[in-house]
Amino acid sequence: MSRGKVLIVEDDDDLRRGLGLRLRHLGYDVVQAQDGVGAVNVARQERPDLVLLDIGLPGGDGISVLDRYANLAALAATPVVVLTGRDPQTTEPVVRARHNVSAFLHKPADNDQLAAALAAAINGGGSGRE
Amino acid sequence: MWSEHEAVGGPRRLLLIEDSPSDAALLEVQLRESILADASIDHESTLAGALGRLRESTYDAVLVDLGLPDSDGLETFLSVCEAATPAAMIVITGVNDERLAGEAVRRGAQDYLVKSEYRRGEVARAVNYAISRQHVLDELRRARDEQLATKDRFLSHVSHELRSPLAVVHQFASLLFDGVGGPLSAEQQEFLTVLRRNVDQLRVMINDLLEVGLAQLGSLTVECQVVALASLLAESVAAYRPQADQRGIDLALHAEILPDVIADPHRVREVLANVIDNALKFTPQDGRVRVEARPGANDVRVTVRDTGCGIRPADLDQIFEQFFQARQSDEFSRNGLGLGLFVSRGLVQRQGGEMWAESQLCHGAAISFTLPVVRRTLEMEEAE
Repeated sequence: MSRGKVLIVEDDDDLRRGLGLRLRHLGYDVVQAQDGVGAVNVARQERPDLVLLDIGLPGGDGISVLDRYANLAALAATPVVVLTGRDPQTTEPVVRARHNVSAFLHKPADNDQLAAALAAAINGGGSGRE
Repeated sequence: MWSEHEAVGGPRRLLLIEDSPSDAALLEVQLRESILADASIDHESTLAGALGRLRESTYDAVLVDLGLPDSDGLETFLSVCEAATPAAMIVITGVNDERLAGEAVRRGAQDYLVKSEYRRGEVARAVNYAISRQHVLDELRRARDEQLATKDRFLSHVSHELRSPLAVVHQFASLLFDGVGGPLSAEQQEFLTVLRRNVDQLRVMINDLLEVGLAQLGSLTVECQVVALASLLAESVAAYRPQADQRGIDLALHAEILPDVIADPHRVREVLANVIDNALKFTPQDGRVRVEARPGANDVRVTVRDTGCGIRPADLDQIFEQFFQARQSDEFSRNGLGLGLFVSRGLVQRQGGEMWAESQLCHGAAISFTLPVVRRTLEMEEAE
């Protein structure tokens, strides 16, 4: 039985594929997007239970994706786990100041840490995002 | 070499701080009859007046008599110098005060003039050269700051760019290891273990690199809060137990009942990871690593003690320096970038604690750090 549907937003093809395999291995259904525009379009079509979001993206960075989600009734409550290669010390406060993301992970994230963050975010429901 | 007639950006702006009207007049005449004839010269006779002037205007050079009605000696120089930056400073001194003038030069004055001994053209030449030297110094300083900033940006950029490919290697190696690509022979599994261990090492190095860049930029964030240290310690020790078991090292936590501390939990975890990782790295099979925590009057002291090869006495002070690498036997020759303890100590200090090392060669090492307890901070707040 699926543990839920996760949208992976990642512009690096190899990493997106690797994360997809990892999440399927963990028991999730996976849909994917490779840029900011896709992140919004796929999310509207697929209604994922959770979004795993990179911040450095072509076509609108992860922060503008979060902005769009917040303004769309259908997506405003979807939990988001950020996975970024950007400097977490400067990026995390900027993201957290604007959005209530479920977890903030840095690349390359430890798989146990990733699994725990996804499970907590999905089980915690999508109530918190502003 | 610079010429006496070199002028950058039009007529010079000079400030003359001199309480004796006759000395001031003499200096003005000297300047007016020189190549600085077209300079604009403002005149003040007190420190207060000069500081007021310096708040409103900038000058190419400031000539200051150190004996003023409201300030005397080196104090005068230091006050004016601070307010006048980046102007070139020239000290005016009495015949018997050359030692004081020398001290002013040591503290940043470009030159000094001895009262009533001015030779023709000397004042203007001193001022002109002082300005030129100041320009060169400022240029050098700017270039150095720029280089440091470029180095930090470079470090930051490189470590960010390395993360994505590293994440891919990490992910696919662990997918293989977990059997997602099919069943593995024992040998394949062992090879993948080696691969993953080295990827993890690379990850730690990249994180360290980034943190050093950030620490030097001063932008490393430390957000302190009330932290239950006991559970944080248990968590960190538990995280390293698999690695310790694998290496046949007995890793244990000995903590008394601990008060809460004021710290950044994320940063404390980082420091603990660093120190425990180090201890495991330098401890041979069948060795022991103990994490101990003891409450003191104002802080809690955490010590990570190992039965490894110890630290040479000459290295005890050095291990917290950037890029320090201990000289070890071949077996433990790869020690990372030598940034872990440097970053850790910086983080501990930012949280109000201290970090130090004790060791006897061949008898293990102990790395300790302190974190302030809650009680102390509340008292301090009340006192303020």
